[in-house]
Amino acid sequence: MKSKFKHAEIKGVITVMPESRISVSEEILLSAFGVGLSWGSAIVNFKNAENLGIRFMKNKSVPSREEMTKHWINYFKGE
Amino acid sequence: MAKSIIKNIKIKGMSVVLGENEIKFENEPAFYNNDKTQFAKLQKMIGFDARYCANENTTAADLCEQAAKILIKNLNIEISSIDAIIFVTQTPDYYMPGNAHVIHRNLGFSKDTIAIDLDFGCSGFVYGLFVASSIINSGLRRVLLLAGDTYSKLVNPKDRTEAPLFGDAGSATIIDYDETAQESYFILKSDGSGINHILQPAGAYRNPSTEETRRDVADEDGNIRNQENLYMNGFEIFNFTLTEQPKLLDEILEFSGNTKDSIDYFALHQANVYIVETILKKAKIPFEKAPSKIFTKYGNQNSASIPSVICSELRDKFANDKKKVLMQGFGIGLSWGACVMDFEKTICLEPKIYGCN
Repeated sequence: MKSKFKHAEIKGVITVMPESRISVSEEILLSAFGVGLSWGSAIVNFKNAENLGIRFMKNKSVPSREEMTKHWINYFKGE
Repeated sequence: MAKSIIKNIKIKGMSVVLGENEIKFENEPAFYNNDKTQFAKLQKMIGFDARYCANENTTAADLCEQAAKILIKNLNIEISSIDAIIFVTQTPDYYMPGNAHVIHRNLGFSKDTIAIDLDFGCSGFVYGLFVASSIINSGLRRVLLLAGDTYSKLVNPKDRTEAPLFGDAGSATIIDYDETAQESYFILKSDGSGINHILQPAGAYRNPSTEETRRDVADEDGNIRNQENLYMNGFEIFNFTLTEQPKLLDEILEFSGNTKDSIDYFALHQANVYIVETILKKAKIPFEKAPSKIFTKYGNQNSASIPSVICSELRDKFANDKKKVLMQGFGIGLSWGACVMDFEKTICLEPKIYGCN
């Protein structure tokens, strides 16, 4: 698991499920630990929960740094 | 519809600590080109008078830590009796970890204590109270809610639309499970379409800090700010406040089965005197039940503003008696929320200045 998806923070917990081919009708013990330090566990019943697996993000159009700077300066000036 | 009724919660006590520097508006005429007419008009209309700002090295975590220490000592409770720390702030010590962990370390909490941060501004006390109440509703017994900010460090001193508004403060509130407590009522709302109306446009991950984002620019009125300063669109915020806040007041009264008469006190977020008094007039709330001039004493203290109203003006009202209090906050997000809760034998301490015993 770790070699394929690497460390993925909270996603690390979620990514376990499709890879382990756990039936969504089972109770699953979730456990996480990290910055803080903080750590926690939960046992959650995933019955009837839809498991959509993992997808790659589609690129979305975002303004460039120059466009953002221009936008905010104009916004400040009320233009 | 985010309406919620939560049983068996009680506010046991509350305290507030102010930034250590008192700044008087009367000493700042130079920022207004010594225009006495404009200066006097602003003073009268908005309520500018005094505000307390934190030193360069004092953070919201410091202010809240002192507020927590004072409260814990006065309530004579053990740190070990607190199951969770919730810290509401937008001026944390670090991007990560959150301020709740800073307090966890500094006050010596055990590993069995939950530590959570919530990123809210002026609506934050009500949101924090809702999360604290929900945690208690899940089976825990006692929560320490800390709400505080140092917005004076986010504003550009030469931006006269923002700089004189904000005072720094930290608050601490203990919320307990109480078998005998009456139901508390919450309504919480959000409107992300108003993100641009109050924000710090740069410095995080969408628009990281660069020389360009730190470059000061002047608006047509001569107010100077850069993209890493707090920006507030006063016109839009005023419209939002006057459109939504009287409506929410009516909604929470109806939801909780109360009337303006059956509520003993209204503790509203103190954006400024003009805004608070306009809401009260529009909602027909009697001024004697709703302190409206805390802004003149401390400035706009964001998430610590409602605790300041209670600790400054109402602290003697429910030391022995049971009183019904409506609390309402509104601001950045946009987000706004209200709750109705009984206060009985609640220990609310007079606000202290940071560093003073």
